[in-house]
Amino acid sequence: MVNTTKLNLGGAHAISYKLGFGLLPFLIFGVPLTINHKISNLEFLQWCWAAAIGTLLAAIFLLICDKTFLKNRRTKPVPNSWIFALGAALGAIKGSSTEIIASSWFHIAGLSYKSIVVRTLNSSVLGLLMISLLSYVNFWWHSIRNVREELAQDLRNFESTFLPLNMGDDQLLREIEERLADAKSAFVTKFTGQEVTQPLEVAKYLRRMAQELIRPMSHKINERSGGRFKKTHFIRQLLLLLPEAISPSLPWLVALCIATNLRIAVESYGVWKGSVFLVSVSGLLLLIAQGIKVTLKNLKPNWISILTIITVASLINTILANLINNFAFQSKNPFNFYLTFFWTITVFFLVLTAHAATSLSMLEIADLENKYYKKYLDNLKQTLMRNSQDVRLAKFLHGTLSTQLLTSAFRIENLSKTMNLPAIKNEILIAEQHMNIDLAPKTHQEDLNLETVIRDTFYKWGSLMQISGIFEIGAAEINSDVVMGMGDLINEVLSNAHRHGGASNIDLTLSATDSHLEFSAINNGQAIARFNKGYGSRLFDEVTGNSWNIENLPDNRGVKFTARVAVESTPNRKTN
Amino acid sequence: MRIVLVEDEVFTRSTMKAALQLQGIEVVHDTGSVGSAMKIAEITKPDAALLDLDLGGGPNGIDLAFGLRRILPKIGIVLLTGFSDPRLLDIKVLNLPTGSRYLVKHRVHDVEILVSELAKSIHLSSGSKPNNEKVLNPEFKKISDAQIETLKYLAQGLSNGEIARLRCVSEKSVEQAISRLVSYFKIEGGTHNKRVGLSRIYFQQSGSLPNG
Repeated sequence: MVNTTKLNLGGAHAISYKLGFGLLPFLIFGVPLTINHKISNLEFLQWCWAAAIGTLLAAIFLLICDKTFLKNRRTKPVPNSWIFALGAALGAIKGSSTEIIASSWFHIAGLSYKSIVVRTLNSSVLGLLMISLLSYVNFWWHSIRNVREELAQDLRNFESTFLPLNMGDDQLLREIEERLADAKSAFVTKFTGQEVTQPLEVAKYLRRMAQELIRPMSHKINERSGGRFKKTHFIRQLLLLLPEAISPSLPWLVALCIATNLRIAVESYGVWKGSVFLVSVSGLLLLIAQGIKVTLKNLKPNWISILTIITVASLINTILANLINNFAFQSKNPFNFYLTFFWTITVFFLVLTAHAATSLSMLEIADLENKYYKKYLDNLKQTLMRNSQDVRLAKFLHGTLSTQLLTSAFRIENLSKTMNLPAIKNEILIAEQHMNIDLAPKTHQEDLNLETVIRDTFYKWGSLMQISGIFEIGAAEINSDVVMGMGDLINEVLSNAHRHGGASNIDLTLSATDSHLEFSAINNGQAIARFNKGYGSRLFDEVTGNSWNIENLPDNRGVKFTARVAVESTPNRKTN
Repeated sequence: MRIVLVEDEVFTRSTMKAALQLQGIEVVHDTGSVGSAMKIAEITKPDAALLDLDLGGGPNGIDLAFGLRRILPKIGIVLLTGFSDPRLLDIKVLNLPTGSRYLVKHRVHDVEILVSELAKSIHLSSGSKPNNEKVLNPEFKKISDAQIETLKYLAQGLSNGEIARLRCVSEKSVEQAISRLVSYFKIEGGTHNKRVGLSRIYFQQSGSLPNG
């Protein structure tokens, strides 16, 4: 999907001083002290103090910016370049002031004019990267929030017609029936006082009934069922998308790695050896990122595994960097294990989460189904299975019932327009009150009874053919899918006999064994000249698992169809 | 003229009955049920039957037409439906009984057309003119049954995989059928819009959406 939202780091969602303050404490410990001599514990503490004061100065600078040139950014956005400059300046202030304070107030050895310049440059690059990243995340975060608010508003619009959540199926059905009854009563009340009613008014009412009553109910049921719009906590969504964020994050990871290690490497090892160190550490980071990607790809992603793997990866990175530092380069520098570990894990999460947030916004705004939905299909499948009843009901309400009402409305409008009809007599409308909208057979499919299905099919076709039959079927507990399948199969057999054979008589037998239903149908219609594969044969294949046969009886006496359907059945009882 | 009116939608049925009565036609029975239509027709022996094609599950209007012809060989048959091509309702539809008339609802601009077609159907059924052709919408003549079936499933919102499973063909075949339909109806736009465009055509041609 192509998101057309223009990236604007200096607009309403530009870095705020509150967010900036949240980031700054990281800077205190973020860059390890690597002056070219072994520092004591006291010096380390002093360095932290200097870094804290430097951070405070940077925070004051950010506050001033926020109150001056960034003040009207919501209405008058500043260019992206200003945000980059702000980040660089922030880093420079923090880096230089820390270095100056450390050398002039605390007199930490190893600091010089040259090191102040190097640190200032280094910190400005780091600041630029960090502030850009933060603004980038903030921008997408707000974009997502806006979309979410719009969606939430849409949902609130339906609020008044929604049913309460967490109702049992029976309660829900009762509620729907009550609502339909209310709607019908309102319908009758509306039209009772008048003698005649205009067709267009009726159509309008039907339309309203479908759109304002039935559809919202189906939406609510669909929501209740979870299904495709299953909600996952936002933070979990971010975590689950971290694996996908690794590839696009690599440039950020490398940039941050180089920015943070450049000065350390050059100061510690000199230009050439330092460059080799830098390349080694960056390569290591890339390698580990790739490792995380591969591991997560082969693992069912959940937030625990992601957190664990990234923590372990950071630990490995720290240990290997330590080894490179101490053994490969035989450095005399102290290597602060905890700081490096803390820094690596922070960088991993910051960069990956930034990209996960942007990926998420893309997915949310466009089509959650595409990437995210498919990736976690297993999870959703379970939800769908659990809620298939609700889904069926929602589909029935949304599809069949409301479509019936809308189609009726449309046809009445059409007829009244094209035929110039007079008003409809109200007695006809009043009779509509008794229109039976039968929810039960469509929703409680597990209650389907084979006998009922057969009786229903016989009733439909009985007027067109003489149908007789003997049925010896299981008492109960025939799977509802089998019952429905048998209903379709019998309907198809009857329709074929009538349509293709022109049969006037058909004899059916259905009996059950412990594991199978045996069905046969003999009609007196015309013999089949050529059997074509089509809808019927597909249906038979599906219902019977290819256990069916059709043959012409000798002497043109008709056609015989037999089928065998696997089913678990209870001891026989005889029905006729 | 005495007719039996079979339409499963109560409002449409009542409005049509009122309109026909205004034209001086005696509606001897109006119903939404095949069984009821057959029983009453046998007793009242109407001159013609005005039938809806889609009568819900089970027998459709054409099945009923053949049933009526069996008990009343000279009855005139008029099928009035929203489906511009009967294959859109059921791919297995047969030829119509001899002399039957097939009317698409949105093309009937006046109730007098109905009256005239009912009269024609009575005349043709008692004559010898055969009607062995399948009713095919000229716009759909070059579309195969398989493509119509795909169109129908597509309009029901099924994915290519689901359609393939129902039709017992490969997804590739479904994709090909869809792309042929797209090029046949000259639908433009992205993949998603093409499916919506095809669904729109289905609903227009089945009378659920106005044309144009």
